[in-house]
Amino acid sequence: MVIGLVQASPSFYGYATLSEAQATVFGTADVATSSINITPTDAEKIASTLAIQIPTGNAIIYTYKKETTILGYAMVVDELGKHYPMTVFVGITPEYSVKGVVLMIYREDYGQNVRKRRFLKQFLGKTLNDPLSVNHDITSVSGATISSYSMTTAVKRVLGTLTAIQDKLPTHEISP
Amino acid sequence: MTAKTMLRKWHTFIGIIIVFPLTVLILTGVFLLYPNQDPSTLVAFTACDTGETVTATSQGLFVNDAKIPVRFPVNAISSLSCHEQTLDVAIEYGPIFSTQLSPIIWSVMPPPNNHRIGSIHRAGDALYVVHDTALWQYRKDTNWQQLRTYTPSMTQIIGMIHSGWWMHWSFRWVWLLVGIGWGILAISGCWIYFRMIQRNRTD
Repeated sequence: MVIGLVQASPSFYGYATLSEAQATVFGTADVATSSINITPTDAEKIASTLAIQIPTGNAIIYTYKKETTILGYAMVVDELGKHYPMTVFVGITPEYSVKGVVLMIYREDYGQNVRKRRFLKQFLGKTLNDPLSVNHDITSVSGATISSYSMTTAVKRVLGTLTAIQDKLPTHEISP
Repeated sequence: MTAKTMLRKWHTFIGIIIVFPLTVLILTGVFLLYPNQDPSTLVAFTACDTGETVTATSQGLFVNDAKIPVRFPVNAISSLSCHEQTLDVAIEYGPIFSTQLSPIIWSVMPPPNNHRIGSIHRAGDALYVVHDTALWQYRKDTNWQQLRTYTPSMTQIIGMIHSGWWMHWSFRWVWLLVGIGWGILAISGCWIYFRMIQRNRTD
């Protein structure tokens, strides 16, 4: 009788590189990378409202611009699914609404359908004023319930983080 | 009467008697494979040592009857634990979510493995997870440690297979196909039988 004792190694399904994710959401915009410190005060501002933890410390923020116009911001986050994290790219507009979501890496054997446009398009235009809640304004993918919740949390986390640190985000012309 | 005739006679007789209960068995079996929960089904319950009650129903997660925001499917909760204002929620096959009762800020951790979580319990700074075959402990400094292993009983193994699972692999779709096949056999068997009677009458 075989009794599984240890968790199997994660699988790896790479669906998009960072460049591909950026191009999907922001097209051919120029991108600048910055590291912004998220303080506990920043995190507390939004954590209890969203009911999810906002990580503190240095976060990599991508800023996209075309000529002098800021097109938006983005973060890449790892959000735990059932057993392993999934890597998600979330881009938002300067008005802090979701511009695009791309599933970059998936590490479980089931539930990859959350990468499909049919599911991801539900996030477009969402802001922190929206519930961003599965079974409310987000319909989960059949057979990928946990992953649907995780993706929703990832989008919420990025929206919350960028909203909390909006004073620190570049808003003027920037050098790539 | 030859053995063949007797067999045919009994096959017909028993087949007619069991066609209705067999149909019920098939339909309920298929339903159990993919059940839908009613609007107010109790999923899990726990009481905190500080007096609060935590109830998970298919309508949501409630602390003292006040609904709290969640980031997981409540219907998939297998166990709750509440100890000194810390609420832990185990999803059937993981992950495990935790929060203080106030404010509600969920953190998440992966389970020790991908077996079904039977129950979780927090004591001090340790979180315990019980599977049907093992007991695990989580501490921040040691991560997950397996404390004990248990041999599954024959009843547990048969129960697992009967419901379409082997360890953490699901083969419920096989039982679904078998159920559909049985249904077709029952209906076609009835049709063959009644056609035979009709043919015998016209002969």
